[in-house]
Amino acid sequence: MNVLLLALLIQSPTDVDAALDKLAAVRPGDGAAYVAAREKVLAFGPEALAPRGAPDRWTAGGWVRAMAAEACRLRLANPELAAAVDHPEGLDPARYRLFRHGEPTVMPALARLGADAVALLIERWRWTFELHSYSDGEAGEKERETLRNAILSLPGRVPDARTRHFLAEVLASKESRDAWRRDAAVSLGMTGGTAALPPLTAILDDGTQPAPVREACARALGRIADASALDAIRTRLAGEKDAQVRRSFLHGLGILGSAWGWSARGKETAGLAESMRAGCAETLVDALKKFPAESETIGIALSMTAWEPSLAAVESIAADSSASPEVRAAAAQVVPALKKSLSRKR
Amino acid sequence: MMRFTRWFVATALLAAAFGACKRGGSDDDGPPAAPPAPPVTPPPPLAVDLDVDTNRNGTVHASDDETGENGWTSTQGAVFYFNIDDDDNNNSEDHLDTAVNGSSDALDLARIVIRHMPSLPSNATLSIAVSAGAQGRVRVFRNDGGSWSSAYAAGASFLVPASLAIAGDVELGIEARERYSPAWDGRVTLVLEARDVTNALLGTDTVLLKCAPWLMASNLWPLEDLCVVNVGSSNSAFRSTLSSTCSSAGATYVEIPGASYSQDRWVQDSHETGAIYLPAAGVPRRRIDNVLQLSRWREVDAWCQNSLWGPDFDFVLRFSTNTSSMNYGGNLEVTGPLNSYPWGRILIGGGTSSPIGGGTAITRRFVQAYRDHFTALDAQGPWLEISTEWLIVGHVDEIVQVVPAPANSRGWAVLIASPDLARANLQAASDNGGGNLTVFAGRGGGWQTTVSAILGNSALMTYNDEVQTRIDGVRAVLQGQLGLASSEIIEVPVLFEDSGFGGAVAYNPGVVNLVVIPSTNGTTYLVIPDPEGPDQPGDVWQAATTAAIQPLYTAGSPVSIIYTDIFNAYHVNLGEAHCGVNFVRTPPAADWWDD
Repeated sequence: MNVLLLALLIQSPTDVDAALDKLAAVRPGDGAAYVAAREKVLAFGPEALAPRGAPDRWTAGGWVRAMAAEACRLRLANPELAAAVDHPEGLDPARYRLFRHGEPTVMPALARLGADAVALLIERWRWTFELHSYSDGEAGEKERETLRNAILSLPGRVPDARTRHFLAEVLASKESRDAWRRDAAVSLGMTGGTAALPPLTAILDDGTQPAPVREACARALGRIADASALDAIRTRLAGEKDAQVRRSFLHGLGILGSAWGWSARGKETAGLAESMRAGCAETLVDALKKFPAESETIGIALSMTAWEPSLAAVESIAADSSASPEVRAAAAQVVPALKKSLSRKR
Repeated sequence: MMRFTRWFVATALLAAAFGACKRGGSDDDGPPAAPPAPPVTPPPPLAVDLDVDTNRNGTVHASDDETGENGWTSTQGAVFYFNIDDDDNNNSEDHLDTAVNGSSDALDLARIVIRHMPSLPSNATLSIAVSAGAQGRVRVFRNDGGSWSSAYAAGASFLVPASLAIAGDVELGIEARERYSPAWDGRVTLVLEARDVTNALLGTDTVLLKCAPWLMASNLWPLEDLCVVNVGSSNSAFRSTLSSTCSSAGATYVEIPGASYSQDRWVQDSHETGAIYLPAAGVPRRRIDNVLQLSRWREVDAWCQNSLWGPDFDFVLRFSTNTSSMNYGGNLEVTGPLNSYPWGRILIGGGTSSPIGGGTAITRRFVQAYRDHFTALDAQGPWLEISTEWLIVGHVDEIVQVVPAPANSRGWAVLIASPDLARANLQAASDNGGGNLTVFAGRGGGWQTTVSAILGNSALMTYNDEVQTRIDGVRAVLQGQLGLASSEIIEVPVLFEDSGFGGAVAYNPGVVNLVVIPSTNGTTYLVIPDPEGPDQPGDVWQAATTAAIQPLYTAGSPVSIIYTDIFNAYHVNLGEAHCGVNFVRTPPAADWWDD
């Protein structure tokens, strides 16, 4: 019987929890301390870690510990996966120079690893990001930003609801770069469900927040497939002063009302899909009258929504002699694309 | 047109005045006048005549080339050449030196002839003025008994020794030293002036020449040579397919050793081939193949320089240091013939828009210097830009491809990527009970999936919904700007995914990114990426692609469609089949100057 097994046999649950507590308490960014503490946790084996990293443990107060436990479990249970996450091919200059555009690209490959990759990626984000080697200078910065974008975006793409608190933390932190907060906002919208609404609207309603972050929150609302998200956009659209944020509300309506998106959610959502697409389309048609300069964005959004009655409504605006020339022109500009989209989706 | 001289006119007037004086004297009543002096014989008239190959038959004729020599029309006007081949194989563009390097290089000079001026005073001055826009952009050589010497390289004008014109015709040769650009439309006007010792103008003549424009090779031109980079076993199936297809098409298959170029396999992106046509004696026209190197600055770029450039094979060295992938060859295509563009119109990708999914708008375009060049090339310019900035690589060949379409009245069509069709194919498979069918069967790295998993991925489907609206925008531009009918834009199934930062890339091997091989045997061969869709019973994406393409062809002009594996060598590296090949093609037997 080797020493490790012996150690496992004599360690109590309390020992595991203590080691995990110590691991989770490592200061973010202190990779060396984390790795040292992680070695002790790994010694408890995957079975001991599995319940401690279970999805229900990823709570507001416990997600860091649960994420660390799950990352450790995966390192033991699936070392190949851990290696793939630790050393993404698309971050290696020798590899990405073979890409057609010759630049670091990791998102598609990491996404195909599935939800299991998420805990390992968040572990890297929090503690070991700088333990890995990057190129010098501008290339290295690009590699870092590419990986950060993937780490923050993947939870939404998978989607992985466990990550809600992690994303909310990144979004809320004013120490985060705007680009990270933006990626976190959109990903949160994709993973968080209605629970994502409060953190997103809090930033949207805070005029002191950077405009690029508010813009991303506006888009993120379109990722929450629920009537409350539509209401959140509706109530804020007309009064929004920032043009880019307003544009993102409109873009978000297209995503929220996407006919293909709702089709993918299955027949069980058919009723909600109808009301959501109708609501998005009505809001967009109304926006056409208020914001004719946004006709391009509104046209794309209406085409995605592909709500049949919206065509007659837009054509009516285009023919309405009481409307301003700008509004009529904007409506006329939208009609061909909307017709094309409707013909595709009938 | 030759001009009679002021000197001749002045002499005649003097003689008339002299005669009048004499006549005045005869009216005098004085003693008989002395016998009249012998009449003054006026010198022969001085014809100042500069000739070029106005009628474009490859020779300069004193009378046949006279009419229209100072203008440019579809039927008249001389042509000259941007001398960028390498006849002496010294790895330098021939126009860069001040010598004429042998008979081949001499052949590259458009001839200009100063006609014999026996009555030109020996102390006269002969000068040729160069139009302002062409100054410094052309070089003129003089042929002195078979020996060429540089006569002009810069400045407003140059001199020709009067003694040469007094002795006989003087032959000059002109070449361009600079490509078309906004600063120069490729035209040069030359004004020959003869002046006497007092600087009085004795005569003048004007000719105009136009530099032959680069004609970018179209997918409709028959294939002569195809090159592909050998990167080992990962693209062996692709290479084997291309080799056998070239054999069937009567084309030459060329492999580039990837190991010599760091496995850089994207030879489509390194350069764009085309041709120059020049008037020639005894044949309808002279063809010079041409490479336009693109602002890419990666390994395989050197191959075209090392292997293609040579005698009668031009090489336009890249003229930007910008390395954005927007500048690569995959982002530069040309349409088939259009009413106003008999040689097709250059198509590039780029624009300003938010990424798929939203966000701040970004601008990504082909670098300005190249856009300016394409505009200046009046045979196929100005370029038309379609929106591709939302793609991570950003190339037109990711979403559209021009193919021969002999069944169409226009003779060609545009294939366009369609997420809608790809999704509909999967939906049909699912509706037929195939939800569990495998997509990307056997592919590791998490690629293998199912029909239901794709259709049930709301993020992926929403993403493709938006991509389809962008592509519909491109379709609208093609219809509006090129006058194509909806039926001339053929959809083929391609889904896209987010590769990071919202940038789109083909999710399934992009069938629109195919290799187009028209042949002289009448068959068009299309080598298409295997999309690796679900089998029901055959690959539903292959079936949809074939069904879309087949009606474009006829029994007399058939198509041979070959699907090929490009997954590991190209697709996972963010490219497809077209990205991995380049071509030399046979231009049509027609003269650009007729248009």
